[in-house]
Amino acid sequence: MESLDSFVFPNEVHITWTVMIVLYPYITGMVAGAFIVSSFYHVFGMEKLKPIARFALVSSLAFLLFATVPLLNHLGRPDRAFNIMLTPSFSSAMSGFGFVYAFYMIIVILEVWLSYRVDLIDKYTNSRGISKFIYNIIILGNSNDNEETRRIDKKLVTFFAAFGIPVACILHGYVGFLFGSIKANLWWSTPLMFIIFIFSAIVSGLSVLIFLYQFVHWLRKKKVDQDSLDLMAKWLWGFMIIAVILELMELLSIAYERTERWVVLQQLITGKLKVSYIILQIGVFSIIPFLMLTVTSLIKINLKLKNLLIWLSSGMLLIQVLLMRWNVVIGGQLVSKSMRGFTEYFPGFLDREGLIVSAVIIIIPFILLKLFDGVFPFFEKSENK
Amino acid sequence: MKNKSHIIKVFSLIFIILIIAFIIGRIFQPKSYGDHGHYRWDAVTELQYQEIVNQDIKICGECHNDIYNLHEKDAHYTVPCTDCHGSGKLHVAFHKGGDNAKNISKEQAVMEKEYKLEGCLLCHRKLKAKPSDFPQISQEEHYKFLHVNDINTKCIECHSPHEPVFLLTEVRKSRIHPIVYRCTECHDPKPEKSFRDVPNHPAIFECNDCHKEIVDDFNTKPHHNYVECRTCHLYHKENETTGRIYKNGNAKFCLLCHEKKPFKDDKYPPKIEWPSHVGSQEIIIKGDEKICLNCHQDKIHKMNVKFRENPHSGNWLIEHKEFGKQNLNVCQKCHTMNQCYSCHMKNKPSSHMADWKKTHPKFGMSNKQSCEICHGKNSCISCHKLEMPHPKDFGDNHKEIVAQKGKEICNKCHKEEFCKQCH
Amino acid sequence: MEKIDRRQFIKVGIFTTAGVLVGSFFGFADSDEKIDVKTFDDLLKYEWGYIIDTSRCIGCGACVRACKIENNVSDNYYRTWVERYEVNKNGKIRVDSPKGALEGFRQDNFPSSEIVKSFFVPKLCNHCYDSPCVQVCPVGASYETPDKVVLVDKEHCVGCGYCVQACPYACRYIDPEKGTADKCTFCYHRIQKGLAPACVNACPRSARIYGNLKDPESKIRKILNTRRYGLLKPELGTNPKCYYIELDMEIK
Repeated sequence: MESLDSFVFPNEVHITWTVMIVLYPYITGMVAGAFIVSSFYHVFGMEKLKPIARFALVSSLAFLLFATVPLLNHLGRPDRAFNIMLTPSFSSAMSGFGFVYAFYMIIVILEVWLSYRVDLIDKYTNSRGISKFIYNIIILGNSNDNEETRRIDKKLVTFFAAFGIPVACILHGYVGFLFGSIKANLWWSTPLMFIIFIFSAIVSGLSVLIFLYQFVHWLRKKKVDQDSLDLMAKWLWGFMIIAVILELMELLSIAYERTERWVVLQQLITGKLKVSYIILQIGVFSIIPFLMLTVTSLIKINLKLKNLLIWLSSGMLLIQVLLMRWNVVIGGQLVSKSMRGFTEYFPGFLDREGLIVSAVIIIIPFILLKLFDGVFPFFEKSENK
Repeated sequence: MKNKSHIIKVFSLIFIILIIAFIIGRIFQPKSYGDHGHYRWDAVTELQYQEIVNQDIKICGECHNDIYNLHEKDAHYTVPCTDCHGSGKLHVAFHKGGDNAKNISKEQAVMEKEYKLEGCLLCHRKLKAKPSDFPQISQEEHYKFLHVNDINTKCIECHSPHEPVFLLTEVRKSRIHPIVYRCTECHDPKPEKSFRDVPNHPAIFECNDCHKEIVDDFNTKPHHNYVECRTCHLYHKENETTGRIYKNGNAKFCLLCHEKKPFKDDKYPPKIEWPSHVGSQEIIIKGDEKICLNCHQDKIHKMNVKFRENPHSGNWLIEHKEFGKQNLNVCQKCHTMNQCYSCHMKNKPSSHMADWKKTHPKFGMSNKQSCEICHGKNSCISCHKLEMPHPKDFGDNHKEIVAQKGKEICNKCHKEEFCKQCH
Repeated sequence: MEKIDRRQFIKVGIFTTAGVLVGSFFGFADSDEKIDVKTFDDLLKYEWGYIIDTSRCIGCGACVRACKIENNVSDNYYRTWVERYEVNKNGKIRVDSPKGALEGFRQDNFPSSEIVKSFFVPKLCNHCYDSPCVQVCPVGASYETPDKVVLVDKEHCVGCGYCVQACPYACRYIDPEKGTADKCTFCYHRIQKGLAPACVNACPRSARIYGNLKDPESKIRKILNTRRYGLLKPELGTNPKCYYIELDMEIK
């Protein structure tokens, strides 16, 4: 029967998973995406990606270190955060988080360490005093560097890169699975959620790499490796098509099947989510980058313009992925389980889980990345204009 | 091997860290986790220690026995004390004393005695969503119906919260009766047409169908304009086809409308002071709840109310003096004036004619009790200076009195020959 | 109140992030009474079920108030609440629950002449047999006791909110004061002593009934064997233990 007024269950007025939970899959998405790009070089030997391979790896690490911060901030009792590893209840999709995160962290740190070992030994031998002491610890007191060690290191890096791909997929994919398997939520419940999340993670990973690559080179007035950039842009174009199509297909499926939940979901999409989903996520931030990337991928144009378009599309796609996370996480909680109404959400500015904190959480990984550049230089100094 | 040493180093380091983490994990496992499942068994035990706040009504009943008994037999027996009076935890703890009473001040132990108007309305406010057989009122309409002027009048001015219906146990036992619908149970507002005028209307029982004589009589009486059959006969729906009906004549019930109260309208419906309306409280014999009907059944409808032999209690013949002075019309409901004259003639009984002095001995001998009613016990002595009739041993002891007063006094009642029976 | 704050303070001081269980001893020490704590085998004899008779509820809200007092429930969150459904003559429905019926209902929503069907529905945790909240808790703080009551271990919960999302009946919430998940406990501390849960005790209309489903002579078994009932969202496979007499299909 048609409802004449909005009704939400009394406990649904305040939503539980806030903007922190929007940021978490966003960050791990970039982690997974960046890592997979890096692995394409190490594992599948795509030489064109060599210039960005180490950069991708270090970005992955920088974001990974910060991935748990939004979660810890969100927990009602962060002091008990280790309970998840002490007494994991394995029927829960979230229980594996602690272990997967730690495991993946080990893999990435190892891979970074092995990739940069040569540079670190170099730094160690050329520094003095405190720095020398710190570098000594980082290289574990072993400054042995020769052909053999480099060969071994490379083999191991390849191994970890390969091994890391499924782990990265699990790290980010379990979030998608978590959302998709919540049968109680009308917007989230779909088997496709795991796939959608992974593909949009790859999009966000590629976007952040392209965006930063061009940005840093512009800052340092260096020349970009055009082949590498073109390849990444083409892949970005391809993966974004797949990601957007997957999401739209899922929506089409719900709309066509017209089960009970469609009535209220339709109201959600055309009402509360009209601006953030239809106009922004799909309209502005999907169609325009798509067009731009089609042009750059298929049509021969002026190089400067091409690079500009690529940079703009990658920036827009970064926003698109963030919007997608927002629309999924927040959108799903706006609709009441009574199927009769919607609640409201605004993160607030100064709240513990508010906008200012969110801004800080997003920005810090980038700052961290800049700091890492000092220790793990990811762009070869030899590249000059 | 030397070339692999850094690999071995780093892997050993990781391995050691993992072992330490594992050991720490084992140490910090919560006790009793996993005892009976993936949870802390102690949590189940801990929860059982949570304090009980809402007190059970049996605990209230331990001290407040009288209210408890009253409450249990009436309509609110399903409503626990805590619903209106609060949880009572501090109150019980304070009054039980002992360790639990520490830290509780006297003020904290006080519970709400009188419930607010809104409190009753929480349940009894009329709402469409409430089941139709649940007693509910619209406060405005209810007060209008009762001609209550002050809208802030509390419900408890008329309804005792511990005994709101004061009849319920009897209603529960009363006879089964076929269903009696109100129009408003299906229609709102009440329809203007009678259901008989509507083709294919489902059959409805009305009181008229079986109790035609009474209903016709009722329609000629004043109550007909204000109350319906069910208002006084308390129809209690039990299921879709039957209910229970109670023949009500309880004075408390009539008083709900007719007792004079400061917040009620003075004129409508006609009001009386209670209990002065029937004289003093003693006149109302315990158990005679239908006292109103004794005099007023003609205002209601034909009924078979059997009077008791003597509706007036022991001292009535003395007490009726005061009552009769102001309420002669009430006496006239049952008694004719002739009945009054049978004792009184201008304030004296008709027998007390001018020659009463002469004639009263004969009367007095067989009707001593009758004299006593007005004149009190032993009032004969006031004139006769002797107990009348004579005390038992007078036969032996009348010598002195006869000597004092002379035979003439004896002759007033006894003939000369009488003395000769002995003398 | 003081006692609880003292307990909390001690716990926070002593507990490590892994939740060492010293605090439970303090919990025992504060209690005056000797309580007959049930063992695992004792509890296996019971299986607590619940019936809500929607034809009898009058929306007074006594249950909501009693629960709030008994369990010290935070403001704006509800362990139990009452909803009102009103259908008007145009076939449109309106559902509301002002403050969860904490202060009852004050007036009809449509003009009363337009309402054709209307009723109250109390709601609470369904204590499902296959509850999704127990399934998804990552730390095992949401669990089912041997007598099949679903509870939250407030000393172990991290407040991740997964269970709140997983519950299809919206009966869980994160307690703003404690930071942990919270929900109806079926007044576990009362039923173990033979007292009715606060809401069942408070209801003046016997619209809420509880009992041991394992006992064939219990009132709840008798009613379930005679009257027709429904469950909320049965298609989700949660197997709830809260049976609704005269469940209308509009009740979700």
